[in-house]
Amino acid sequence: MTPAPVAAHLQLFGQFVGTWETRIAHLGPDGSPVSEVGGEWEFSYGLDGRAVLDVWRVPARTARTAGGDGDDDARREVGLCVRIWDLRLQLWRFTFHSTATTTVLHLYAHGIGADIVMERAEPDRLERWVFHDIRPDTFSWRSEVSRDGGPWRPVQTLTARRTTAT
Amino acid sequence: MVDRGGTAERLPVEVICAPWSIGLRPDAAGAEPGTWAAPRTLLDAGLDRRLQAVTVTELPRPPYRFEAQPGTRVRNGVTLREHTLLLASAVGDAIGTGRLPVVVGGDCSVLLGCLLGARRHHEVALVHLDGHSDFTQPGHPGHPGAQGLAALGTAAGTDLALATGRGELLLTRWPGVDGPLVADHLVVQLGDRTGEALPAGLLVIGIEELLATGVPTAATRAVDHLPGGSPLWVHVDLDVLDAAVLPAVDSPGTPGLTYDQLSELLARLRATGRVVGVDVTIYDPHLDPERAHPDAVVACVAAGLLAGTA
Repeated sequence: MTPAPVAAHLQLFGQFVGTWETRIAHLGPDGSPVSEVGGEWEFSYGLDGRAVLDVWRVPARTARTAGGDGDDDARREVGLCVRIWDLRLQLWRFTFHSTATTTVLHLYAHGIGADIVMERAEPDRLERWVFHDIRPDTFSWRSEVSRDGGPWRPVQTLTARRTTAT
Repeated sequence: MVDRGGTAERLPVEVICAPWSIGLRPDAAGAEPGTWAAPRTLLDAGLDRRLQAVTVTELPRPPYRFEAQPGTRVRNGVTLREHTLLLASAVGDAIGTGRLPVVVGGDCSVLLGCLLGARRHHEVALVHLDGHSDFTQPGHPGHPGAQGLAALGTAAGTDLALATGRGELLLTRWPGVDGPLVADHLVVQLGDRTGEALPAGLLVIGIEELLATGVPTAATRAVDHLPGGSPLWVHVDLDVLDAAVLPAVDSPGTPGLTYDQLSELLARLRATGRVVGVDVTIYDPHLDPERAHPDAVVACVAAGLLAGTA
């Protein structure tokens, strides 16, 4: 049972619960794609309905990685994101745990208009990820970086198509 | 509902104490700066009595962290968000009950909670009285990050940028507000002595112009710039006073105003009948061990805010 004060906010990410097929483009300095890869993204409720968890896999388990030497699963980037609505801060905050790099990232998120913006700060840059064009069975997502207060530059885009609803 | 017309200046005052230094870098000795002690020191000097305050609300003192907090490069950024929301509730409640909130900081980052509280009732324009424009963002030579990647930014040095929606999401996106706390065209900065260029939408009346044209002309120009009828929040960083007048602030400088000039400026703003709240910041009692200045600060603020009232 989700506590009522949290339930009112949980749908922001709860709307993504289910599994998604993703297509990710890594962008070069001029903003054009330099590589593309397919992946999977699974969203679910967790922590007794107090959080939205998601598991990110790139490439998808159905795809072979670039090495092609039979060790595909070891090369796969698998990450876990724990998303919690923070009543005290009136903001989404979450951690992303990467098994590929063993790093843990702390991010904040807020709905802005029809989009959802996630952000984290590093000493020399801000990084943000923007969910946009959100529909029941598709959404898009872009990753951008602003260095030293400069303009936002896209570094990655993603399109997602729902494969299951739960 | 608050009367923002000509009777607004008769609103009873509620003093709200925001005892914090979390928006500042550590002092020269590497310790927490002393602005957190200003509310109690100014109350001891009679601020609430002189303002004829009907209520004094004292908010908790937030802990000051020296290390970075997760996901932010603003010093105490997470703590500041939490206490901004607490301050906003107090300011919003004061306005909602027909009082004039006078928020006593604390450092300049209290501005965010003040504006957020006022925004719970209506859009506001901002008169930013400060010896600095407080617009120092990453990439600016004055930003602490320019001293090295390990340095953290400070909210008190960038409060006006944050209030106008520039900076980390953590401190620029707030519940119930779609966009920045205050739009560029609703801001007048008065008293900057740095000459730092601001975005074109904000009106800046620097200290040289203010002193050259005089307080009445500058006040008229400031008020005329802001759309008629829009409620005003007045932010007072006491470093707008000349360092010869009040050296016990975080970043003293010269030229600056005298106490009489600041009182007159506040009185002229209050006389518009549009002022819905005021914050007074950055006096540091730790820099004033003899307590040479609280009486003068209190007299200045009281004279400015009560001028012309019965």
